[in-house]
Amino acid sequence: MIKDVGKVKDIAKRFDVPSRMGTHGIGHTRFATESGVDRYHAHPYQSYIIPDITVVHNGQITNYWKIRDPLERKGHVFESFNDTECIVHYMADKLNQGYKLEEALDQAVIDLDGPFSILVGTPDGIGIAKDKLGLRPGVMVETDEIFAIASEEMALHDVTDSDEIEQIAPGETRAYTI
Amino acid sequence: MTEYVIDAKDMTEKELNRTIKEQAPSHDKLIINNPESRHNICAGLIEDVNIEINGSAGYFVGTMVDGPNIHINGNAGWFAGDNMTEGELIIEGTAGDGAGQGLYGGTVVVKGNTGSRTGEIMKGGTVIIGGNSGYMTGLLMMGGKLIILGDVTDDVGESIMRGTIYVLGSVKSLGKNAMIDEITAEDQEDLKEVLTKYGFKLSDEDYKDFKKIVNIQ
Repeated sequence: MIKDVGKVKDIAKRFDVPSRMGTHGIGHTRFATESGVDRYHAHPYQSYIIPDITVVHNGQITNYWKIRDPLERKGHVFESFNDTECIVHYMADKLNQGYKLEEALDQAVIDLDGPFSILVGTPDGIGIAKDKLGLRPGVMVETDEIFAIASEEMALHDVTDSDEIEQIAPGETRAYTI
Repeated sequence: MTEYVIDAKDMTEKELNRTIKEQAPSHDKLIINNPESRHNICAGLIEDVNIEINGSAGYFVGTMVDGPNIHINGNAGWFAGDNMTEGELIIEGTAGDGAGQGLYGGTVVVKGNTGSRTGEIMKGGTVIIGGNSGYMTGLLMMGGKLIILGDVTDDVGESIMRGTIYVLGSVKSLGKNAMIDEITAEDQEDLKEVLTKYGFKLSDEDYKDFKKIVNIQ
């Protein structure tokens, strides 16, 4: 996981991102509306119970404390007041209980309030969930070679020439495994 | 007919819109290549000029325009044609949420599917969606015509005050204050006129099948 403050191109160069190989990944450029602007508040957030669960998020979780309190009682250690960290602990907790990724995402749509589009990265897949009212954007493209999900089409064209853009619907969840 | 070609590849949004506004008064048509999903293309344009965008546009394409005919050979992001007062915005592909939001006049045509809240708070004009439309289509609508040729999901016409929503496909559920009214011969003629103008070919039976959604009186 790479987190830092600066321009995307500069950070990609600093950490030699283009040379990294893999099957899937998630990324995020943060325009902070709350909490600190430093590498600790940058996305992705990672679970310390299941280290390979990561989350990036666009939106706000308005029932943050209602979600955080029971997780803390269970032993999840929060290191910031950023609502995205709350989502990663929530997802880790559900997966730890035996939920499949798609089931955990479906439950997240029920339990989390506020506007959000979230991407969850696991060792063998990626999941997306969008809030019930669809207040944050989410588009995707799927071809024989790749699937890609982003906030807007501009980002998808960095990885595909396809114009077959699909809108993620309000309350929709999807999970892809390799 | 005079044409002017703009290559947007290395332009910022401001540079692109400045160029559009500088060139529009002296040309009949502007062709914009490599838009690369930039936001706010043609924002606030008030010239009667034809604009062809070859590629996809980002958020708020054609926002607050008065007069231009904009044709996008690609997709559009959220809020295409937001607050348009006059002109045409034709999108060959799909559009994101809020297409035709707050429309006062003119016509927005999306040939493919749209996201949620299509035509929300529109006050006039016409919005045509060739495909499906998402959650709360016609939210808080105050006027105008919203025509959907595909299916719509939940809460169509949520809190609609005035205006009319026509749906040819299925309606999953109506929103508060929305009801289905009987479609008249006059409605069918109006639909035929506007849909034929924009190249949609429907049978006479199709026009009878439109569901007309209005506010509860």
